Amino acid sequence: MKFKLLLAATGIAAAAIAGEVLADRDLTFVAYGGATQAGMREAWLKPFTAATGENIAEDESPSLAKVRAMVETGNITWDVLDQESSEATTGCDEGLYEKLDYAKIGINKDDFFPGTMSDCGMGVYIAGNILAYDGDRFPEGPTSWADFWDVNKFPGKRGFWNTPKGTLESALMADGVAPADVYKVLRSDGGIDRAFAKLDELKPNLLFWDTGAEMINRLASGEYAMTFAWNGRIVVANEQDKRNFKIAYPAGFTYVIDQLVIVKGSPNVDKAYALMGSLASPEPNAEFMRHVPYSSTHEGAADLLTPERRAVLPLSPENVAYGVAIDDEFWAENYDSLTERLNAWAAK
Amino acid sequence: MAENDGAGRRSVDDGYGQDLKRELRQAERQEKRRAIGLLLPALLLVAITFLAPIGLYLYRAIDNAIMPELMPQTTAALAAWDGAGLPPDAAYDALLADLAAGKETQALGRLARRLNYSRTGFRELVLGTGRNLAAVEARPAREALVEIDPRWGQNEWWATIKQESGAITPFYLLASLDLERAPTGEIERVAPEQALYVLLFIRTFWISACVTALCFLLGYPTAYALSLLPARITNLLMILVMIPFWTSILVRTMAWAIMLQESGPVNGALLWAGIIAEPLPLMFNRAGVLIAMTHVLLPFFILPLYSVMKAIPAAQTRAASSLGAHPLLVFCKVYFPQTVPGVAAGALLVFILALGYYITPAIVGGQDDQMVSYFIALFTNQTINWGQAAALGAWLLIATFVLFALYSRLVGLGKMRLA
Repeated sequence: MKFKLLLAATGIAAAAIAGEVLADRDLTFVAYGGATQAGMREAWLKPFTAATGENIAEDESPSLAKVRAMVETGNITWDVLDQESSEATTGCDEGLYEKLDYAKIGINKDDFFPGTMSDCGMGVYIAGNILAYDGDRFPEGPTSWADFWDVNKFPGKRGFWNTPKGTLESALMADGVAPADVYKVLRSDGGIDRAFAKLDELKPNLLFWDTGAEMINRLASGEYAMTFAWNGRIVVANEQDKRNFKIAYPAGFTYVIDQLVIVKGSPNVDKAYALMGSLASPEPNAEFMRHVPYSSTHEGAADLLTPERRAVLPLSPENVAYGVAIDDEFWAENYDSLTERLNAWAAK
Repeated sequence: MAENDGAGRRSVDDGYGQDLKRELRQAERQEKRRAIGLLLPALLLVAITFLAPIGLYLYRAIDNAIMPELMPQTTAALAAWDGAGLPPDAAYDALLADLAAGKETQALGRLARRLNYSRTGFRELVLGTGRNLAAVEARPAREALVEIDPRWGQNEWWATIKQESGAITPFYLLASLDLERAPTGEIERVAPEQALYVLLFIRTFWISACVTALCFLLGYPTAYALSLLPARITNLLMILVMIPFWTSILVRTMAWAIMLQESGPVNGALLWAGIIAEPLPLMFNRAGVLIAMTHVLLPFFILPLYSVMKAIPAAQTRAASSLGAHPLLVFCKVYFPQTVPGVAAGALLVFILALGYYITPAIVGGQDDQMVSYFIALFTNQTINWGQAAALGAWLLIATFVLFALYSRLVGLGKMRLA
């Protein structure tokens, strides 16, 4: 009797585990959470589900390291990822992402800005890494990264994303390097040391953030006097939470292409292609920009927006002059070693 | 037990002779076997669910099977090379074959990452070479590889591969102490901007020691008061100690994060009372870590100490006082020495638990308040460098054992009372 019971329990447990392991997964979409992912959900995912009947599961924080672990263990739980272009390139080199067949996606590359599509990544939006502050706290706000470093003039803690990408560029801008020249300096002898030396000055007042939500919360609570931020989150916080956050575009900023990639070995490759293909026309891309003001890679999409909306995009005609594109080649080569160095620097 | 056995045996010798003695011994042996038999499932459980996983995890600190696995021919070809100059042609042929095989099975990413740990630049070298393998064609391997990337014509890259070709490696354990092996085999310190872990271990032990001291300062009077007050009040106060003890550590830490933030209640109250003019920085610094960790760990100090204090007869201190001793003297000479076992147990519990703390410093600490566990988590979850994570864990475990041994020499384990 007891034996039978044990047998039954074992059977149930085994069936439950097998069910988990063998179950067909819904297409799983992974982005950076917060307002951006909410915008994608409304503009891209829900219309796709409505049109095809395919459910889409979501997850957050698509780190390359997790993809490495998934591909190496063969336990793939993510399908379509939002990746910054340098990560998409790195993952492509390492064989973590599918090489894309653009004919199969069914988009016309000429409809999109040149240079936004790569072997593994279909560029969808361009985000600005900008200097943000609370306009209620500093009516006469900072206008340069040098001001960002000036804690006497603007007392309070500073935020940076916990990654060297964008941080070192901003440090060099604070040190007087023009945005267009930052990679020339970073590639030169002593350029990286110069950026770290500049960061040393800010260290007592610097606190890294790990997620976009953390960044916005700390800016809102006053923990940060000002922060390196993704431009979209700042505008959305103003709209939804009636904040008065300001962006200092003239200080200089880096911008980064975010691309959709498909994890190699995904069981949902066809559905992933279909989802990417649903972004071929301007409308879903424009709808995304109405939710979150990042610049779409689709050339026709911005035309569908109001002039007010167009003005807050990072690549608007007024703003684009202050920006410099993140150099994927530099970061594909140096990301790992500089991440390690930044970790060691921060922990000391 | 021991005394009973001794008495029993003596009585057997006295009157009943050898047979009975033998039977008794047999019976005892049977008893012992049964006891062990009953213990066996528990021992097995500990071995399977506790010792084996820890052992396997620690093995990762030296595990280097990936190199013989992904570079079978190169590691074999380099075995005969003396490490000076450049390796023989056979090694170049072997490398070419290994890289081609790795490209075929999409394992080059793993190999590139592993070698990049030992020498920055290997990632690009391996992946770049992999991309250009098609250009080799029918040329000699050495010529082709050096043309793809001139680094294949430099000794240091080959020396690193040779050094890391074994199935086990001291690399991670050395790196966790800011050490590395030079190409010549000597152990030397890493460059100052890379050095981190020695400082990290010192910081971990220092924070743990500070938290233990704070727990003593706050916990001793609390336990003392609890042991003296009438049972009704004690029970109520005990609940106040236990409720945080039973609350999730994450919840308690987040509560502290809310309390301590710049616009939080603590700063609000101090500002309102006019004690401070500017909000105090209480979070993302050492002060926040010490406050939150002390609060989280305080019950572990109070509980063993309380049970020890409760057992000290009040008559003793009264007797000392009635004989004319000053209250301070009574405390120092009569009371305190008897509470040492409780203090010792509480301090050890708090200290060892504090060594492994992760979530509290991660939430309320700044970048320079992170302890060893933060980096173990970072290497496990973020960079997926499990060898490094295991090596840090191994050193933390070893250091904890050493301290424990020292501590038991100083205080004496027999003197400790956990409850």
